[in-house]
Amino acid sequence: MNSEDQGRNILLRLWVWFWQPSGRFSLGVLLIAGGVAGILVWGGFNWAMELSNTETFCVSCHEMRNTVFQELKKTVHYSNASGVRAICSDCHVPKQWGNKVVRKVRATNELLHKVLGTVNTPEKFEAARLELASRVWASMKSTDSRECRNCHLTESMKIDSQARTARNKHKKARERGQTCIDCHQGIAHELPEDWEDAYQALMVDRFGIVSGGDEENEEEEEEEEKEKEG
Amino acid sequence: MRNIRWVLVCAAFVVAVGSATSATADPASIDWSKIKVKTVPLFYPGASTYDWLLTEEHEGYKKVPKGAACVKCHEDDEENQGMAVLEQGMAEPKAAPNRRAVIQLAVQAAHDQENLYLRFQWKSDSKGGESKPDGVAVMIGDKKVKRFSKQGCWLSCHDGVRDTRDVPSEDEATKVLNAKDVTKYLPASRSDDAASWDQLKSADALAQIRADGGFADLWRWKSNGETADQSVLENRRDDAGDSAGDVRAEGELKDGTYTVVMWRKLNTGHPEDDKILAVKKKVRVGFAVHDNNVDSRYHYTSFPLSLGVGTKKAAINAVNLK
Repeated sequence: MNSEDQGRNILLRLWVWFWQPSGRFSLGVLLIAGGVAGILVWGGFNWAMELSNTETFCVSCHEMRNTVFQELKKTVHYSNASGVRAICSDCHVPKQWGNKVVRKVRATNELLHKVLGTVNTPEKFEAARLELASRVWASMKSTDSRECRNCHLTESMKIDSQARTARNKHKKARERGQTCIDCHQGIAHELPEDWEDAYQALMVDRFGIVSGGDEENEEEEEEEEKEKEG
Repeated sequence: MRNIRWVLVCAAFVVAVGSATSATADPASIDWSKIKVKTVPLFYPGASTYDWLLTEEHEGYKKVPKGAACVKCHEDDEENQGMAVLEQGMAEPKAAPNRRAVIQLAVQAAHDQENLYLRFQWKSDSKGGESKPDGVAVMIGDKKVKRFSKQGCWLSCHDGVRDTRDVPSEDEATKVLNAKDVTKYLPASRSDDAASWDQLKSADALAQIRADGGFADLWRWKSNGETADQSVLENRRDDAGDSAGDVRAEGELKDGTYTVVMWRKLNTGHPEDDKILAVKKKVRVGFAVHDNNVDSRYHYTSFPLSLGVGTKKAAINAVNLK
C-alpha cells in the first residue's frame, strides 16, 4: 500500500465515523453540546466583529486617532444638542450582516498598510487624503449613501421645516435623484484640496454622471436653451 | 514720387479712420431690443463677508477655503439668502432700512472689434434725488484670480471694511495699509488663512501677484454721474495714469427703471490693472447694485457667472455687433 492509498483510507474512515450513530453519547447530550458549541463559535465570531466596530478599536491606531478622529470630534456628528453620536463604524461599516462581513474582509487590507506604514505620519496622511476620501465617496455613491440612511431617511424628513437653503437643495436633490454624499462631502472630516473637481471627475469616471449645479453645466444649459430658442 | 507717397499716406489714413469707425459702435445707437436679456438675481447679502463665511453660522464654512463654488449649495437660492438676512438677521450686525431680499438685474452684452458694451436695467425703489447715489458695479476676474470663478465678489469682502465687523480706526488702518480705511481686497493679498485685513503681504509679493494677473477688475457707474475704473488686490484702487478712465458709462432713471450702458475697450493695453478682454474669450463677472439711498455693503449682489465675448458658451454672451 502506498502513502496515497493510506491517506485516502484515513479520510474514508473519518467520513464513516462522522456519520455513524454515537454509541457513547445520548442524542440529547449531542444536541445540547452542539447547540452550545454553535453559540460559542457564532457568538464569538460576531463578538469579535462587533469589537472591531467600536470607537476604541478604530482609534487604537494613531493613524486614525490623530487625524480623522480629531476632525470628527469638531463636528455635529460627534457632539450636538440631542446627544446622539455617530461613531466611525456608523458611517463606514454597513449594518447589514453580509455587507458587513465583506467590509471586514476588505478591511484586512488596512492591516497590511498599517505594517507598511502607508499613512503613518501626518504628511503621508495629507498626501493620501484625496485618494482615501475618493474611495469613501465612490463607495457611498454606489450604495446610495446607505450608511447615512441608517439614521437619515429622506421619507422622514420634513423638508418644509428645514432652513430655506436646505429645503431648496433637498427638493432639487430629490428631483435629480442625487444621494447624500453628492453634497455632504467632508461632513465629518477635513476636505482634501481640490475636492470639488476631484468629486466631479470621480462621478464622470466611475459612474458616468455629469453632476448638476456647477458652472460648466450652467453654461451647457445655457447652450441648450439657446438651441431650443434658435 | 513725392506725390505717390502723399497719396499712399492719405489712403492709409482714410482706411485707418474708416476701419476704426466701422469697428466702433456708438453706444447710443445699439439696438438692444435684438440682444438677448439675461436676468440675474441679485440678493441682499447683509455682512456675509469672507470672514463670516468661515464661521459656523455659515454651514458651508469648511468648504469655502477649499474652493467650493457658492452655487454648489446656493443654486437658485438668491431669494432664500436675502430672506435669511432680512428675516433671521443672519450675517447682519446692523440692518439698513428698506432692503429687499432680491432684485432682478437685466443684463445684455454686445461687442465690436474695439469695445465691450454692457447694458443693465433694474426696477428701482429710488424716487431720484436721494443723498446717496444709486449705481451698478461689475467685478471681473479670470483664471488668474484664484477661486474667483467659484466665489466671485465674496472673495473681496472682508471684516474691517466699513459697516461690517471689527472696523479699525483710521490710525490703525493707516499703520498697516497706508490708507484711512479698509476697502475691498482679495485673500491672495493677505498672508493668513482667514485673509485678515491687517495681515498684508509684502509689497514685492503683491507686485508679483499683480504682475501675474491675480487682481480683479472693477467697473462702476453711479447715478451722480461718476464712473469708476478700478482694480482690487490689496485694496480697491483707481486705475492711474494712462490706464485711468477706460470705463465709460451713461445711465438714467426713467419711470422707476434704471437703464445703464457701460463700455470699455476690449484691450486697454494695461494688463497691470485692467482685465484684457478678447473675442472668443470668457471671463467671470459678479454684479452689484446700490439702490434706494444706500452705500457701502448695503447693496444687492450676484453670485459669479461667466461672460463670453462672442462665444456661446457663457451665461452671458456678448453679441458681435459687426
